[in-house]
Amino acid sequence: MGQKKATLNVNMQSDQDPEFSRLLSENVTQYKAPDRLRRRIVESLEEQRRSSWRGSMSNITEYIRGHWQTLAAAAATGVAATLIGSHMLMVTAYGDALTQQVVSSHIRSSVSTHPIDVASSDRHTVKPWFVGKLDYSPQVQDYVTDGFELVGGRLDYVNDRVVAALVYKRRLHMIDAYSWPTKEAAKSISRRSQNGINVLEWRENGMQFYLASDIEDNELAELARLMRRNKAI
Amino acid sequence: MKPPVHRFEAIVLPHLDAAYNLARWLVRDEHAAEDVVQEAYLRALRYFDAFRGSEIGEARSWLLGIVRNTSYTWLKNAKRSGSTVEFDDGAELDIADASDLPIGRVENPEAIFSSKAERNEINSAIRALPMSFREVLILREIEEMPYESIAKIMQIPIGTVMSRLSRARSLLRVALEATFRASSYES
Repeated sequence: MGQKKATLNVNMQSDQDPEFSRLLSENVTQYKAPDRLRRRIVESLEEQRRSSWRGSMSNITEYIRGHWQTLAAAAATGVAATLIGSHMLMVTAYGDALTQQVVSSHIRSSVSTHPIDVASSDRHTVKPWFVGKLDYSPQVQDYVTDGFELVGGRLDYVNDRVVAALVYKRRLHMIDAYSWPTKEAAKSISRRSQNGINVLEWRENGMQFYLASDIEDNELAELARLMRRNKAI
Repeated sequence: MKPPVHRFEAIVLPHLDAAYNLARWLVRDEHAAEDVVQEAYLRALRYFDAFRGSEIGEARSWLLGIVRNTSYTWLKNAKRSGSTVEFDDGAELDIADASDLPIGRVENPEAIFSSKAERNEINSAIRALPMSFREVLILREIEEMPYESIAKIMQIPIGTVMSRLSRARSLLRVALEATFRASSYES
């Protein structure tokens, strides 16, 4: 029965030996990867991706800390992403998403017939109005003597949370000032621009601040400086 | 930026069996082969940006090259640490009937008549071959890779692939001939 199988012809010297090849391909074990190996590999690939992303993110944060002025200037001309390469897209994408929300909110309120829920220039009226409506108490201050008049406030929805929006008037322009509590580290003022709206952003004392307006950003920066100087809640 | 999640898996994961098979034949140990293949896939992910080939065949060849290098590294480390690599005469050779045949590409009635003992002999003989002969035999006869791919994977000229293959077959023939003669088959 095994006779045909056993004709191993040692006299055949050629490289092509189809019978021998067939003998091998029919009998040599072809191992299959066990399922546990497949699972292990899928998991370890994911873990490697997570850790290399974490590593590159911490590098990006360091880079930004050291270079924010360059980045801010570059952002105005739109070259920030190419400065740092594709990794930067992850960070600017998140920052841009938040900026986009702030800008959208500002544009919505500027076309709205009801941009203000509580209309008053008196911080003793506006600040208490937020009590019970927010899980924090926003910093409220009128800067009319410096050219920024508080006209009131409203509730808004940004970054997946209900936030306080204060509305300031500068000549004929409106400025929306958003603030909410944050656990992220303090950050000095950075500038962005979208859809013709200038945005300033900073963090201090556990609070995140955004200013949005169509006024020029150096004027907007003046309001930012006033707000940062005045820690009196 | 993170490598694309799906593209790497889509291109490289289908060759897991081939990767494991090669690793298994090279390191001759079930658990070592799993470690080698896992390490090879992590390396492949790291190098994926540099991999330009778009054809399925190129991905397999590329991956098997990484598996081969990882196997050699593993063997070198194992030798250095003094651990013995066990032969694995495992249960997978216990093929009782046709339904237990390993995944083969040939539906040949003769295969069904192979005895278990005969199959064991063939596998043992290959396992006993020196590494470079074993390697070229598996890549050519089992993985059916073209000479060019084998040359790239083994990092030798094509001519060397052919002569090594020829020598491997001769060695195997001689070993099997002796075995079958001993088992009282007609030659």
